[in-house]
Amino acid sequence: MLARLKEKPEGFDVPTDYFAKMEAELWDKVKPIEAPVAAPASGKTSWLDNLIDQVSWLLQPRMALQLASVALVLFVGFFAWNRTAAPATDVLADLTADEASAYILANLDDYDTESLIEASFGDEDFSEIESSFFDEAGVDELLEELLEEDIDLETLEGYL
Amino acid sequence: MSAYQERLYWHVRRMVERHEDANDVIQNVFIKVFKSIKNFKGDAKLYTWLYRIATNESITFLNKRKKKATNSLDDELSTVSHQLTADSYFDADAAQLRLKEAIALLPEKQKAVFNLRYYEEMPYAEMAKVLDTTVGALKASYHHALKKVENYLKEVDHNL
Repeated sequence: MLARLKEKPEGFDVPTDYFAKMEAELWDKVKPIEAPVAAPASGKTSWLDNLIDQVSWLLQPRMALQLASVALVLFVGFFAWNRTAAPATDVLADLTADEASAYILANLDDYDTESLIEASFGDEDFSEIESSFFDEAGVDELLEELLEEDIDLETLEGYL
Repeated sequence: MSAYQERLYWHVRRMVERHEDANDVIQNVFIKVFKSIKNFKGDAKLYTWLYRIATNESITFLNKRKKKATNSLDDELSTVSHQLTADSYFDADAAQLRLKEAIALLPEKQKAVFNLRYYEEMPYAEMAKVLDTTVGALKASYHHALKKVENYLKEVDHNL
């Protein structure tokens, strides 16, 4: 019976051109993950590109650099946003794009890449990707499923 | 990557049944793939890694869906049947509908094993790499799933 059913269409369908459009739609969703976080309130975004160009020879890999830059934008944006309440001695207040870029370059060593990455992606947990579908208890779990369905040992041994 | 999109979509679709859900899951799959491609060690075939992520994401989705539902077994069957027939991208005869119902009632991991073996005719050795478990456990799971599906179809035929 199942062999006959396999020869027939499954019955699942997709919208017209779904697969043709899929790749483009996926890239649209994926692009924001790579793009820098939204610009600080001061609207100073162009200096980010300058910063990346200037430090690209300093830091590798590029992804870590982008992540670090994004986190730096957040820090600088935070200070710039709060500049009205900040003390007069706040070094990041009222900076121009060039001045902000020059400041960060001069103080790059003060920023720990690891903590910056953590600040950006602290809650992300990629360990799930590395873990196996069936970990050490996986085989037992699979067989437990069978036992929960009251499969008798003889039948189970027959399958194995 | 585009070579695998369609294959992975159908694997996910067979797990979650509805096109809208499959679309959501497959997008999550590729976003995760993009985020963690650097973690791919290259010690397994790419498609093995992709299938594993797709299966994990599908099972996660199914578990979330199950948690939201508080149905009894009879209600679960009518929910499954309704979900299939209400999906505008599902158009099958009664026999295929019954088969899909039977598969939908399998526990998630058994469903994955059944789909990979029955529809994709994946060899057990290959499936063992995808699902990171033993061939013996997979054979047991598949044979038991097969029996359940066959019994369901016979019961439905008998009742009609």
